[in-house]
Amino acid sequence: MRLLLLPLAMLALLCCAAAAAVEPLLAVVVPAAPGHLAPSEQDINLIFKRRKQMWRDGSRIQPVNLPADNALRRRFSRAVLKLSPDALEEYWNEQYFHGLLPPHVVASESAMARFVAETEGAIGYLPYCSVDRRLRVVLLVTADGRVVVPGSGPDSVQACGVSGSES
Amino acid sequence: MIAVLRFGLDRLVLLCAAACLGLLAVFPAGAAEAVASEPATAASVEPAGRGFDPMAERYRLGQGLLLGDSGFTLGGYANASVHETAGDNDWVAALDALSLFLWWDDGDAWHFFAETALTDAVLLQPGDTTTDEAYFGLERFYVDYVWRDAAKFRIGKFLTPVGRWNLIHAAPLVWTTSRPLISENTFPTNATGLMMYGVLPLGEDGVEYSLYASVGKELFPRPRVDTFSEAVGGHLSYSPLPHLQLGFSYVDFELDRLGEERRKLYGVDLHWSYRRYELTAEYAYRANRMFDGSRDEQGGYIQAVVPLTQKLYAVARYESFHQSGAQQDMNLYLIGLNYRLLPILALKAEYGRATDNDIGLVDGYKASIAVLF
Repeated sequence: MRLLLLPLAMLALLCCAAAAAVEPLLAVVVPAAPGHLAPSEQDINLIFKRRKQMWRDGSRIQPVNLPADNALRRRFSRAVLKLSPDALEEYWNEQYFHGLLPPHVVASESAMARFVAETEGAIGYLPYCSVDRRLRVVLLVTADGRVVVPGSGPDSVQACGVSGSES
Repeated sequence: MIAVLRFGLDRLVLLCAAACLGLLAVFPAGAAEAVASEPATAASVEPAGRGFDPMAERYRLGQGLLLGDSGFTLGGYANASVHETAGDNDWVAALDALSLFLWWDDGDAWHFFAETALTDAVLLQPGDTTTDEAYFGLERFYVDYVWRDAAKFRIGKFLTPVGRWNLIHAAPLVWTTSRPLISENTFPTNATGLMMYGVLPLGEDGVEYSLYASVGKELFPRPRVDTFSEAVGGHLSYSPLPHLQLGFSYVDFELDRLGEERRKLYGVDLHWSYRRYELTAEYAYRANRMFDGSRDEQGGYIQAVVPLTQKLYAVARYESFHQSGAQQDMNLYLIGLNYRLLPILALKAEYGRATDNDIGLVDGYKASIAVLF
């Protein structure tokens, strides 16, 4: 019986892993150090369009993006900014005319984690399972594109053994 | 007429090709990268020890050139066009605009922005080439202080916040070579003074507002263009629905050359964009207190953009315009094509026709190439 169950369990795990690889839970993160209040979904939308540039204490927000062809970034843009790549492109070209550049770009998820952890006022996004203790999750984007507040999200939040709220 | 057009179009194609090659030659490094590069990435220079982006310091067309770690960024746009003329010459080609932006950001609350523009740098007509019409001017020059997102302060020369077109008028960002009359005829396109502006956290995209005042004395006024001698105005923009933006403008002003004639301008603008389809409209009504506040000038346009292929768009625009003192309203019809070779490089061709044309606008073809760099 055990011999039968083991392959089934492995198959189930592989299925879960494959599903997660397609659409991992996305976490919007800020540095873990206490300071800034958790921004809302609307705040994050404004921050990544650089229409909101300051935290409530008056310090500058440092949003950071993954490269445009990164699947995580595309999901983030669709779910939070609610703009297609074309519309976003047009938006930034218009902002450029006014001397406003898009958020910084880092090349990889590990670079994103390091940047956000080490930069005061930074905000970025990562696969939920890549979030470590240096970071605090302020918002989650589920596989189906829903935006949820940590703690009120799906069960999979617990999958990596990391608390969804402050760490 | 057909012969004339053929004659003109041959040159049009040659001019566009030459201008294109010239512009790309100026930016050899960026052009190739821009094709494959992401549109919405900033070249970023992080503090030492935090620079994780190996691509950060590369120049990309349409994203500006960071001048080291000075906080300065250099960018701009260029536009070259050819159009039919009403005079003896069949056509005229010109390097209409070569604008340079220079801005500085201290990473905190201060921001400086300047735009210089060389207009009509070179004019080519059959048998004649001249630079006599060239004009070098200062389009924008201001300093911003960001106190809060909802309260930023600007001092200097800025674009007058009326409507949509005037605020995003750079040739690579607009769909047509010609500009709607109400976006520049009914008010001075620049103002020198003070502005308070910001984004209020209302609704998903926030509400953008600006309030401004000008006491005249335009910084580097353009010759033959009337400027504000006094102005107080405001502009409000918000998104009531996804993909839709609405704007409202108001300005109470006097013009430098017309002395005591006080005017009020009311404007509304709309922009809807969905899956690369676009609809834009603006309407402006200007009243003159000298005539009991009755209509002085009025106009509006509606413009539709339809994607034909991944890079080719069809554009159609109708505009109605009543110029001050005119006997009748003028109607302008325009159809055209816009080929966006890159998101920041556009080739445009259009045909425009005006009826009840009291101000001598020239009907006919226009074409241009514009690049943001």
